[in-house]
Amino acid sequence: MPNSPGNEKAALEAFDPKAYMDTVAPMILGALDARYYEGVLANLATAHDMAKAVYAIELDADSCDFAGVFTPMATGPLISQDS
Amino acid sequence: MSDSDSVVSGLDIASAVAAKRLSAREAVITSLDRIDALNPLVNAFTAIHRDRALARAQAVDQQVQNGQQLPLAGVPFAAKNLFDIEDEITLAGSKINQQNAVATTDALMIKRLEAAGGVLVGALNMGEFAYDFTGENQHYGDCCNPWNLTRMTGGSSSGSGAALASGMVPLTLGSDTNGSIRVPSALCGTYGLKPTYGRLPRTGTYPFCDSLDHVGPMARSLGELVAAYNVMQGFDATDHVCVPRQLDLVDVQSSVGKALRIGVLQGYFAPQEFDEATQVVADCAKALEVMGLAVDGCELSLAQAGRSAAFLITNIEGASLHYEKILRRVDEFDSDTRDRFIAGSLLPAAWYARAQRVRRQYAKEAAELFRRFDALLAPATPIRAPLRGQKTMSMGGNEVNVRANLGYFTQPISCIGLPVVCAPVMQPDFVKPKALQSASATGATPSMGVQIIAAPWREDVCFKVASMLADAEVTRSEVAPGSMQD
Repeated sequence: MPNSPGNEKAALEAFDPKAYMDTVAPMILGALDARYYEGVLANLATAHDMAKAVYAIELDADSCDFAGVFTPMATGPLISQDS
Repeated sequence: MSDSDSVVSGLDIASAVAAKRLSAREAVITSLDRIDALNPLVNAFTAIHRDRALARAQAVDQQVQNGQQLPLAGVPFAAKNLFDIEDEITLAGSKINQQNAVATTDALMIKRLEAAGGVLVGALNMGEFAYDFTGENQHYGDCCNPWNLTRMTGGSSSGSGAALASGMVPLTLGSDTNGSIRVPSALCGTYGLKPTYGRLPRTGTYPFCDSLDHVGPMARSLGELVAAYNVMQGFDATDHVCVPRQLDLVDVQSSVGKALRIGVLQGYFAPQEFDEATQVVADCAKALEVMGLAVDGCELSLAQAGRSAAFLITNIEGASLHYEKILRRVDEFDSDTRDRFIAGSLLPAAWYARAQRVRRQYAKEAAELFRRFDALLAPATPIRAPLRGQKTMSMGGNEVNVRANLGYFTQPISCIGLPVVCAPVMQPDFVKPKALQSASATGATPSMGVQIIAAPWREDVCFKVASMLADAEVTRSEVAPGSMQD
């Protein structure tokens, strides 16, 4: 990609909460009301700090995405077991 | 004698009802009378279910007459208003939910407590949609700390802590996603259990963040907490994270505890600027050492990352849950939660996935630590109860948001689902006031809390250590004065 920051940490450093909010919010939520613009921005900046902390950790080589809330559900016996 | 000295414990009520020295109806009327007297000041209850409670009490009395053994016979209790109560609307601290249909049945935890003889007397105030550490609520009014009405209770189980500390009921139900049982327990001076993630079914509760939500009991004594926990246990497949396990009934008199190894969490959990919080932990560690337990310092190096992971998971899952409402009814939110949910709805998915991976790695680190220690100690809150309306607190040389940081010490622990008993520690300057502190009082509240943390499924270890500290009178809970005049 042109102008790519190169890696995850560099991307996080380049992340600008205000620019991000001004670009993304209208597509997700519509225009942000002036009454809560600053409050949302402050929370986005805090989330950005939290993201830096989770990206500062070197994950284990065997780390994989963790589906924290998914449990497979069986619906009944397999056909091969029925026959 | 202050009227708070006459408040009877839940276990004393249960034994008196079982022995027919007291009727459940009498116990419930006493509780309802105290709620009538104090709730206008404390604002712990959002609904009082008098008729239901009296009918249930009558049924308990009949069961006792019939010879039934009920461990919580006649014990009045109340539930944070995110627990379903049959024929009532489950508010979850919000205005938006006022338009929802009434619940068709009680939450499972209410059913289990009532099956054991408990009597539900009402629903309790809470932070909107449980996204709160303060106890403030713009829709239903702030819940006020019974030790000083100008101070926060902590949240989001604000009413659950305040109803106990003011002696309105001896037992409450709360929920804890990032510290919402432990923070109000510490600031109100009560006991709270955040069980292992997946231990107690959340069936019939309004969710906040599925990956992190827990439910648990709060009480003024360890005995009441254990009694409630024992009857609340049991698998329920309706909650998809509930783990099928045998009942691990707790008996704090058991031999567990003879050779427990105690780790005192350092680093993230011992910042010098919160010397009062770290002193609470040091005092508890010293007492355990005197009792012969092996005590040593230790660290969870990924605690900061874990706390951050919990923050992101909560923000994103919570915002996702409420996205439709953010789009259609944004002005009906409490402004503090509104801004957080809006921000959460914008965050990149990659941050969420990364947070879940970090959480797993952090859990591995904790598992390694539990090879060396049976229980860990950490503070519950950085400071005593802030003033209501206070927006910031000092941390690391900066002014940071109170709402997000009262859970600084609790958030990294619930992130990885560890069981915790939060026990109250009355501070050395504690002198029990003769009367309820008026709205103009400026004094600090008396309590802080210690988190007693164990490996997953070892609530029994949490309770054993808590029991030892209670026996040594390092931890204890008191009832705040019950009127302005007494």
